[in-house]
Amino acid sequence: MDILSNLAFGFEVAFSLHNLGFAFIGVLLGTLVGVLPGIGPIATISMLLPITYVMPPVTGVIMLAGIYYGSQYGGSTTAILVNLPGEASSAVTAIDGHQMAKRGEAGAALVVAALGSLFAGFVGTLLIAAFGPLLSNVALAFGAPEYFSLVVLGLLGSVVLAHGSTLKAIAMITLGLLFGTVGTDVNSGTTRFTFGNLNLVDGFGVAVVSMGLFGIAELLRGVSEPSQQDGTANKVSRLWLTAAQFKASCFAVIRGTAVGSVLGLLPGGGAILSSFASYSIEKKVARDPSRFGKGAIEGVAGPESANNAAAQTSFIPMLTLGVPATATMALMMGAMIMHNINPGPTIMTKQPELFWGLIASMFLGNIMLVILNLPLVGIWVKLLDIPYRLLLPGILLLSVIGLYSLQNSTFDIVSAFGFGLVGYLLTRFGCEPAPFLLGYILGPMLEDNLRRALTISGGDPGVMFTQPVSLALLVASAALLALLAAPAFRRNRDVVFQEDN
Amino acid sequence: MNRSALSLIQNEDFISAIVFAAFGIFFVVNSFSLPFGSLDDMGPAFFPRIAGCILIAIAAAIGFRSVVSNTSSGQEVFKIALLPLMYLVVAVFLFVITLPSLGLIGSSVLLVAVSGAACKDRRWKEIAIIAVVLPILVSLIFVYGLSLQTPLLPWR
Repeated sequence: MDILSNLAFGFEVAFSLHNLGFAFIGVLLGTLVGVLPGIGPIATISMLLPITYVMPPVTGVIMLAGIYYGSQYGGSTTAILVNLPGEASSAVTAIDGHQMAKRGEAGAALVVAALGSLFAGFVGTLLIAAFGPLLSNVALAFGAPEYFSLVVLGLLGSVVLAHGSTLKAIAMITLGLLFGTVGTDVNSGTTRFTFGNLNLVDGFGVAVVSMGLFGIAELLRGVSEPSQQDGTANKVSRLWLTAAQFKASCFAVIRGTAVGSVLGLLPGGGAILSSFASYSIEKKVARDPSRFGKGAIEGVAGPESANNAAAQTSFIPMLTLGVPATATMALMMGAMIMHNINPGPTIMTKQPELFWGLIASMFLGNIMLVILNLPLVGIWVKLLDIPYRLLLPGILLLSVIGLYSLQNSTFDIVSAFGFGLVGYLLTRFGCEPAPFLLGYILGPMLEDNLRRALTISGGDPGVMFTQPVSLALLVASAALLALLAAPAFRRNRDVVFQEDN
Repeated sequence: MNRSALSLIQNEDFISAIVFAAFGIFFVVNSFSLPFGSLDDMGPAFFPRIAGCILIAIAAAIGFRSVVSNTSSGQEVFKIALLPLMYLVVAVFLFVITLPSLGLIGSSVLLVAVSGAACKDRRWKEIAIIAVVLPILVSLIFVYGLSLQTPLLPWR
């Protein structure tokens, strides 16, 4: 079968000492970042973007991907043991996981989280391998109008499924689109909004924007809003599952994997939404829902599998269609573009070693993570004892020097800090930064396809509506907007995210 | 009149609307110096101007909604701890200013020292230690591990 030979090729790439090593570094960093609150995968990926310059693109992508799905594992460890979810997607795990820990069942919770994530990781990776090429073939038939509508759908979709005010999120997307135009217009060669500043001729740069909005803004928040830590770490019991626990969690894992795989594909879906959705489903499906909130193992197994499955499948739209589903994927795409790789249907033919190597590496990465997370649990928990006042200068220093290393320019440091300040203030006013990043990265794609579509059609904007696929995508976007306005949907949306704060 | 004006300024939705409108106007106004083109031949100003107008429209909607229905979360949103933020601003400023003169390690020491002082629960001994250890560690990683071309010390 074609898939098998491609996978074999992928494993060949993934098993090279170089790629294996950096995959390990990636998942290790990911776990670390997942464990520590106050720094997340987006900020870490941004900080390591400059470092990936010195390595071949495949290796860089493998490492960055490892950080992302690794952080899902790390977040659950602290969620269970210390009730401190390192990642938003582990917030749900903390609910029942920590209760289990208090009952002395921390070991079981950790095992079920790790094994559930492993299963979900495998399934997710298989899905990418199976459906990736199929989707790419579909996308090869896409023209400029279809791409335009797809990006519109992607941008709007990311708002619908996220929480917070929709209008403000759409405003942030639009603002991101505008900032994306700063620099040189590819089509005409004229510089836009640079005001004569030579540093802006190529725009701000993905790394600058994301490090500023997610890294520096998070540091600013950490220093001005210190959080109270519930430092009581529970003793970890035997790392084992009884037969009863295994049976109980088995189906939760399968359900969680299914939920996560599907939701990970959707724009704005991703790990956070999947874990919440899985928790709600488990509660609804359970024979005795009152156990939830008091240490129900399904409440750990389901969400953990869901968030890891989503982490894997969220790569699919980005790799095959070239349209990222979440801000993290947008950033990974930005990283690839920096390496002169264009994600999209052509990636299978032009850079097969990247696609299949990445998939194979995800298999291996998931295995490495189970080994890392189970025996080394004690070390991770000790790390939580490092006070934030010591972490902050370190992270700031890494960010600043990393920014400088992009182009040996202090302008990048200053502009990133500017993004961080404004981003932090806007976040306090209820405007999320993730839609901005999506708009910033997808802006050029939107403009480019709009221009091409209009040029080909001779100035007729109706072309977006006459092409069937494009029309379908735009109708879906309109439906999403209508959904947002419907009061019933808004109520449910808020309920799902009730736990998030 | 006075009270409703005050509550408006304390309404984060209203402030967000102002900020968005300001950005929108900025981009639209600055797009006038660029050729707009036509539908079948989009100029460089086409996309930014339209996106800017959309942003202004959304800002108006947010602003309108904030005035009509009281959506504010109240005053806590505006209680921004300025002092720690200022420490970080100064830290980064010092780094940028001293980088050419003090070298990478030198300016890093200043960055770590000032940012370490930003946290309320700071201890001077700890700050002294990390201000020496971290700059050396990180600078060495970047210059020797990642071939960052920049002088480490003032006299090199």
